[in-house]
Amino acid sequence: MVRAGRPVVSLLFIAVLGLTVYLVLVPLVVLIVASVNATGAHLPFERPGIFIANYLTVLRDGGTYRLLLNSTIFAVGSTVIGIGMAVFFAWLIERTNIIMRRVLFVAVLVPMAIPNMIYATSWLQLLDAHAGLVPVTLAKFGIPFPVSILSLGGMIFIQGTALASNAYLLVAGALRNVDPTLEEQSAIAGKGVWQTLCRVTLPILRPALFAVIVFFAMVCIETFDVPGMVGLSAGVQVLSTRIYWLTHPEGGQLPDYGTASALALLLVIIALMLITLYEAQLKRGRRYVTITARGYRPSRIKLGPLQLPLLVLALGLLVITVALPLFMLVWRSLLRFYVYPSPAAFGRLSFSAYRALVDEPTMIAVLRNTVLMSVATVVVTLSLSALVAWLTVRSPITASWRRRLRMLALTPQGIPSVVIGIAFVLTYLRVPIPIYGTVWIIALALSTKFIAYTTAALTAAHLQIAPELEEASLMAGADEFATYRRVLFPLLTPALANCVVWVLIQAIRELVIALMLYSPSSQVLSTQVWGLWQNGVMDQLCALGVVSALVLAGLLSLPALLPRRWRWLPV
Amino acid sequence: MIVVSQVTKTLGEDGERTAAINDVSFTVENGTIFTLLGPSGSGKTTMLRCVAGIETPDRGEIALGDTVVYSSARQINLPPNRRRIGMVFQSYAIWPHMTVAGNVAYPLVGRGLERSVIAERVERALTQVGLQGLADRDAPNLSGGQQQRVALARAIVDEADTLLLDEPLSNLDAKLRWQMRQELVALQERLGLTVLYVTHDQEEALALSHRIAVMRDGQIVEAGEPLALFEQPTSRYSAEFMGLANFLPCSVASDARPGERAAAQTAFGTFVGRVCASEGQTPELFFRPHRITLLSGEFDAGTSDTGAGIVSAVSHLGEVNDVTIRSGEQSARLRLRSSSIPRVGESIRFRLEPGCAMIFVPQRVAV
Amino acid sequence: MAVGQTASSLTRRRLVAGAAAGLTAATFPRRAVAAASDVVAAAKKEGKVVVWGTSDLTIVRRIVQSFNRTYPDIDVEYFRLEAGPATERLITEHAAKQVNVDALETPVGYIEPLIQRDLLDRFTWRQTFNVGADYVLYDRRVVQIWNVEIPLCCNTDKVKPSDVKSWDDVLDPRWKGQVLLEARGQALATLALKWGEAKTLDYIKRLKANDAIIMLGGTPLAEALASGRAAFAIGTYAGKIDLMKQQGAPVDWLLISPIPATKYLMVVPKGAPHVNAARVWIAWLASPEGQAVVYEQLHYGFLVGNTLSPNGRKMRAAGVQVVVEADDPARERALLELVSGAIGALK
Repeated sequence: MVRAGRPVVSLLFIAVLGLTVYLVLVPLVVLIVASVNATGAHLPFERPGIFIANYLTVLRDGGTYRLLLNSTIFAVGSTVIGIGMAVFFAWLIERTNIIMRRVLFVAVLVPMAIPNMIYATSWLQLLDAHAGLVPVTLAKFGIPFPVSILSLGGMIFIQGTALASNAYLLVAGALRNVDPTLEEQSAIAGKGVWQTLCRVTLPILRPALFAVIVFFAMVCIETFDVPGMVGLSAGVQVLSTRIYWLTHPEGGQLPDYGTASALALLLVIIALMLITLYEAQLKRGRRYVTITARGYRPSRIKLGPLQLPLLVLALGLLVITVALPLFMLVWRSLLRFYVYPSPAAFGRLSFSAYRALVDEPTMIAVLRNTVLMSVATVVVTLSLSALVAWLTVRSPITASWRRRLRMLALTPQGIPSVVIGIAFVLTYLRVPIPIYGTVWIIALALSTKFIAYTTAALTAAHLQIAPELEEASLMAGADEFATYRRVLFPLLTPALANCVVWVLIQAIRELVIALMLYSPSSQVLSTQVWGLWQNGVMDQLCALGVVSALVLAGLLSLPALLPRRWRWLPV
Repeated sequence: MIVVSQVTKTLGEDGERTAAINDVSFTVENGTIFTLLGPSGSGKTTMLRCVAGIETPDRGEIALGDTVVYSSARQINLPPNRRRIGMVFQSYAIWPHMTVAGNVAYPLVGRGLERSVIAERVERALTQVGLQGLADRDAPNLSGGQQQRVALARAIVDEADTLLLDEPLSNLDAKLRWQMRQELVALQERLGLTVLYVTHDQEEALALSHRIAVMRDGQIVEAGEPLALFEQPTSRYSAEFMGLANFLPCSVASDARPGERAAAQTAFGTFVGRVCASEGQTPELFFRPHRITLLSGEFDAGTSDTGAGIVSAVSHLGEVNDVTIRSGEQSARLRLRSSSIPRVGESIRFRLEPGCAMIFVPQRVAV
Repeated sequence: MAVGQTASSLTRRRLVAGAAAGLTAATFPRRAVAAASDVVAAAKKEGKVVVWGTSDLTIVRRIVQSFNRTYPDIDVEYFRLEAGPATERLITEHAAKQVNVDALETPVGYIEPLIQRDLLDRFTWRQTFNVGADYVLYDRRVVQIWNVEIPLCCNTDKVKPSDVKSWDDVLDPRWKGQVLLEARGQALATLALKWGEAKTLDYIKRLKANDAIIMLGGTPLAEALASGRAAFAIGTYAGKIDLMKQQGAPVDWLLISPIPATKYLMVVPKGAPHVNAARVWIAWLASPEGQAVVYEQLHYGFLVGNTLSPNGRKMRAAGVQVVVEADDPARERALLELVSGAIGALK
């Protein structure tokens, strides 16, 4: 298995492989068993037996293919909008000398702090044909608003704009590492800003960008929050909503894990196909080396006359995708029930929702749990994926084993959260590791979910470091571990910091897994949010959204105040 | 001393393996510079990396001094960080997140040495390469040449006696390259280093090396001292690789044996040269374009080692002239000094300098 | 068989033993009826009860405050969980012998799988705690705490309540796109008991043809109604509407026959760790004292039977008929499936 005689490295590899197998295969096995064992009347593992009825039902049903089509359109549309916006902003903020960079940076990331459900609710309230802020305001000026938010297009719009924030960190991380001399050469050759972007920057970014696109496509295919909320009223079903409603029936039926798992396996297959595509891109590893000895501090492109139009465009986009929903959140949080903004309405504003949040006696416990859970998730996810990335990109382990480990680590992205949830419930009720009902089981389940993303991110970062930098360290007498510590880790710090921030935020936002695994003693912020939504306490819900956005904005602005050496996020 | 015995390495996935190095053996004597010379794909860099330990051969044995660092028979494979040799990469591999001192001190850190001792050795190494006083500069703020010297300093700071250099000069401009060549030679002599050098530039190889091995498709075609290789190559390939060469198809006596002297008839005339085995298809007369003297006046047409032809092209290259002459179907290149500039269409006669001609005769395998 | 005994002597022994047992059974009831004070004492020793339900936590907290005035030694840990996930979690935990809940709110449709798997504890509610016979269901396994009425509701800024005469009014093309419909269809499934399945399905078809807006959840429906997104709402709760009206929202519920209502049921699972505390809690909720508190906080109470809530009394006074959901869990489930399938949103 190992090329050079490095037993310690191969031991480490085996340990990491074992851990990843355990983390990834448990939900997968449960999924497969559930698809052949569970039926509408019985939960998985309730009674023995193998039936293929579920598969037959799924494959014979014409509706399945409609779901697939809707899911694909939804995923493609949202990914295009989301990644497109992310690339635009990342390039603008990271590589050009546009003014107001810090403001743009914070504004782009703020929607990440708002749980998707709240974000979608905000949009529904903004664009609802009868009572929405935008159509009503336009109507006052006699302008019709012909677009309906309750449609597949509306879903794509909401998901895409929410996605942009999520994707930004990853795209920005990759952009930051592009060798500036390549772009400078393009400028010297007389190419304008646009041509440099298209012909030099984007092609170099291709594997990192591809990883981002692949993963967000998978996210969109399996996400529930937006299609669940909007699709219900829009009459649009996608694969993820079908799986969700099968597992959360509302009419007295038991969850149909059988059919749901069979459908979920469809998702996993799609994910595996996408992962294979990604692998094929990775084979061209060397071409994308961008951190070399030639210096890696990126210089900024001078925009010149393009400053103003681009700034206007950026701000316009942000007003539409960030400021409007935020305004809606703030407005709604100050009212017991919704009224159209008008001077008369101002009399009704009050902070009672915020007071209720603060007065909530369980809030401290909830916050503590949330912190514990998210930090634990960060630790597990980052350690494991950093190890996986390192061991799979360039280590003396044979190529085929490295590929297997990488594909294994990337697989969970295709497993729907609801499956991971139920798998963990079923497993840890039986396995004698006492984490059921605690925050640790949520952290472990979330780690399973996030490890794919961070592995891809760190793999891309590794690829951007020239192999000679590692080899030189070996030749200088340092072994693999010292090389990681003294050469790789410092160079990976930006990517690692990005991943930490991303995982923290996602862990706090993740809803479906938390809902399936929480208990009275381990309630977290997202389950709290869900409770508010279920109870229709919209003002408190929006207040929570506003507070989260403010906290995140603060977190993101913090590095700007620190001395340069300590800044873990660049602006 | 570096001893490489019968090292083979194949690349690629199972089912489509190609031999990057095929049964290569050579020895680098202590205190000498041994160069692996060849085009890209010849396996020279792979061989170097195998000696370094960054790549592992499939078979063979490699010894550094008294230590066997790799042996397929005895299942030995010392990892690169334990081989105690310095290496300079083609791209220098300077770590951008450290200073010059950080880069150079790297091999010494973590070994329990005193900080002052480390600083002193760093400064000494920097002085050796002419970068004294630059210890605190940030690595990315260096020019290409400076980075290269830092890489060199890093390779010698630990006082290893063996150095591996992977095309270290190829990224420098011509003038700097020349300067660095001098400095490298001086450094090697000063410190008595044993150096394995890899390059595709034959001029560099000629200037630096004590011994050169010409490589092609994973094998050493010919090895020897630079001048011998240049003047008296024993293989057609290295003859062509080492510098400008003329290969004139000729006819030669069928019983000509390698090692003997024979006469070869070309369109330009008959010349005597030493016979050598070749991989080619037809017998060829070989000589270097500059090893000729122009003849003037009337000479006996029958004098051996003289030839005549019509000038078909002249290039003035400043210090020399590149003259192409034709006779019948054949053409040959000559290099003449500026003092004698023939004109196109002129007929000239020349004599080959003694001992510079070789006749490459294909060897037919006995059935 | 001992030496000397014959088969016939054994049989005679058995007969006598059986007769004695039967006599005893006739004289004393087989199940021992616990005295309320004993149960309360045991509950105090247990110290807490874990409850799963779907009510708003702030409101529940106030109800618990009142409960604790009577029973200060019993902590109530209320835990929001939707019915489906709750049932499933109970089944899964029970299979792993790890039941973590003491009292559970269960809609009618979910009773069947729980009974099938014999997961519910029986108790002498009537004898021990004087819970009305009407309210103890399914062979003493289930206690009904209140009814939830789901009348037709309207936005008073858009519609005058007195102008609405019947359920069919919302089918008027005038209200195209102005009617909210709850996705699960609980209200209509219950109405189907009165209207019959065919009429209900037709009603749903005509609602959809009139561009009804489908949303999930009674409370979000009320919120949307209050915000002016629509004029009518089918599937939200009168109690919620009452609360919003109190806060000044332009909403109201209509006294239009028939008014569908569900049963709010509570069960105690077998193997519950604090079984006595659960019984005390449920019994208190069903008691007059508990009922008063519940009505004050949630505006829920009984709409049928002997103890009516104020809303129930209003309905009776107006001569409005109340249709309560089916007793038979299988029938209830079938109707729900039929209706939600016809609405077609939850798939």
